[in-house]
Amino acid sequence: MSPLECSHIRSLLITAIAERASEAERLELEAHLERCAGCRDQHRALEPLRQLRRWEPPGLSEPQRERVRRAALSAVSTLPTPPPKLRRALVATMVGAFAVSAAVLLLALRPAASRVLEGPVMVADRVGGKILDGDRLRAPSGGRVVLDGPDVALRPGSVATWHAAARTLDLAAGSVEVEVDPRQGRSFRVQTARFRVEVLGTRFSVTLDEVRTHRGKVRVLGLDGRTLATLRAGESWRAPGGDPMAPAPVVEPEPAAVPASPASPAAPAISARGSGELARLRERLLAARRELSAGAPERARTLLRPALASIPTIAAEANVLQAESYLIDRQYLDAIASYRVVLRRYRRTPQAESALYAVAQLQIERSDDDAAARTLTRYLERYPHGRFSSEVRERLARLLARGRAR
Amino acid sequence: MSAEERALCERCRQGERAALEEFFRAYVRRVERVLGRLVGPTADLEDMVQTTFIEAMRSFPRFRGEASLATWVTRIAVHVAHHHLRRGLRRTVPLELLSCEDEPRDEARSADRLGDDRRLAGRLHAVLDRISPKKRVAFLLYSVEGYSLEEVAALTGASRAATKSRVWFARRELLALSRRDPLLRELAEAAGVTRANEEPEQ
Repeated sequence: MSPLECSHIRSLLITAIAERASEAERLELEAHLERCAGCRDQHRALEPLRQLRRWEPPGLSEPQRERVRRAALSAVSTLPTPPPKLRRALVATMVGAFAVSAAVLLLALRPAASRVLEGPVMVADRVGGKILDGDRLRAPSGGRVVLDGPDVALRPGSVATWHAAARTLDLAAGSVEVEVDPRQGRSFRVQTARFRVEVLGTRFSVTLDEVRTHRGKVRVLGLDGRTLATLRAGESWRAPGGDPMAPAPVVEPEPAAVPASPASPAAPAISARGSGELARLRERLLAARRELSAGAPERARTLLRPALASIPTIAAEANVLQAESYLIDRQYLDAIASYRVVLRRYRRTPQAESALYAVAQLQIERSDDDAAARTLTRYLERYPHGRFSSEVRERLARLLARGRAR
Repeated sequence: MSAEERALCERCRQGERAALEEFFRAYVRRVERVLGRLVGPTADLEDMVQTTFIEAMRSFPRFRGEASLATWVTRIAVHVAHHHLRRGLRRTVPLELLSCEDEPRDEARSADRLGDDRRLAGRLHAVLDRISPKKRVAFLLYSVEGYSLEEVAALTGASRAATKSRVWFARRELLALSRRDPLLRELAEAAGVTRANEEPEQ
């Protein structure tokens, strides 16, 4: 048996398992296996794969399927109808203009999607009222807000920032209790410096260290996107004191440990540095957030300096916070530069996705349409199902339409 | 595409709710199966199925009938699975903790056999976790789902040559990793192997 022949046969093994081998190929395979111990060994080693072919994965239960059906239909219920054909363009335009006018009137009259419901909650520099994208919320004595659907109770002393496009509440201090209506079918996230909570229909509480689920199911993610825990009603999870990426005590990890790979560069760095330094760096990130909340970007940048070149997850977060500090100072080019550091060096962290979107938004604000279009296109290539993909598609369509109109 | 399918497609493109419901009911089990086979036992199946259908329903205005609805929705499910694997959100809950009330009961098979199959699938997918998502998806679509290389290339948006290369490398990696896994080695030995052959790959 020549090496070339064995190489050919070993490719045929998979073809045979896939039941795509012709009669001639099967005969060739059988003849070779009778003579070659090495290939016979490989053939038997693939037995688990043959059994996997026979395995039927469990599907969803009927209640799960019903939830999915409602959520999917609800998510598309506000989609615009397809563009009219040319011969109906004039009528459609007239109807559209009327509809837009009516919609503007209705929007002006209906309550804001995000607003304060109860208590003296500071929104940016004012008390109460509408909550817009990027607004910081402060509730020294507690309060209640609605954020584009979900009802959020802010405990006394809570400070958080609302990112409407990402449907994410960034919790800097205190704790919140969130009620999400599953019928809305849209995700909602609460993010702290150490983890992110994603929900789709539940009630849960979050402090800077702990998540507690009252109803439904939530997923707790590390800042590198890895799932730390999935919590059902009545379960809670507390961030470990040392490594923030360690699995949660609620759930035992799978026995086969995943080795460090280029896709998770943080893993070896954490073990090499030790938990003490990590804890100090995390404290700096927290303190920097507090300074940003207090409107002190320069102090935040000073705190962030040692963290900017740390392990990927910490450094990515630090560079994003630095970018935010520059935004407060209206130093937009410096903000873009900080975001670009995340995109260049930490592109596999969850912050990279937000950074790419943020760069595009800044380019739009600076009227650099060509650059913005390129950035938005890059976003869709990397994150076709990303958090901001709907908004990115809409913005890109508007930019391209504007470009064609010139 | 049949005339019936074309008509359904057009109604879905217009956003007709009854048509979208019909589309959902017609393809939900297919999507569940594709995702389950590519990703393995996971508590995130519901999220992935939902993401697939939201993406499909939103994409109907752009769909021009260049493929059958089955192929089109399978392609979306494959991309969702790939995205899920890239994010590393695998099996957040051990198989033992998956709630029985969330799983449909299969009366036709014994509980023991179901448990063995699930353990094997979970074990094999844990090994597959160490292979890159691109290679894993191509390999499973070809060897387990039985698609041709051309079909796998179309589903994953890759060239035939790249697909063939991914399948080939995935096979090699899977064999090397499986040999180190006691359960999978035991299965292979039960099929007749007494000792792993250390003959180098050609």
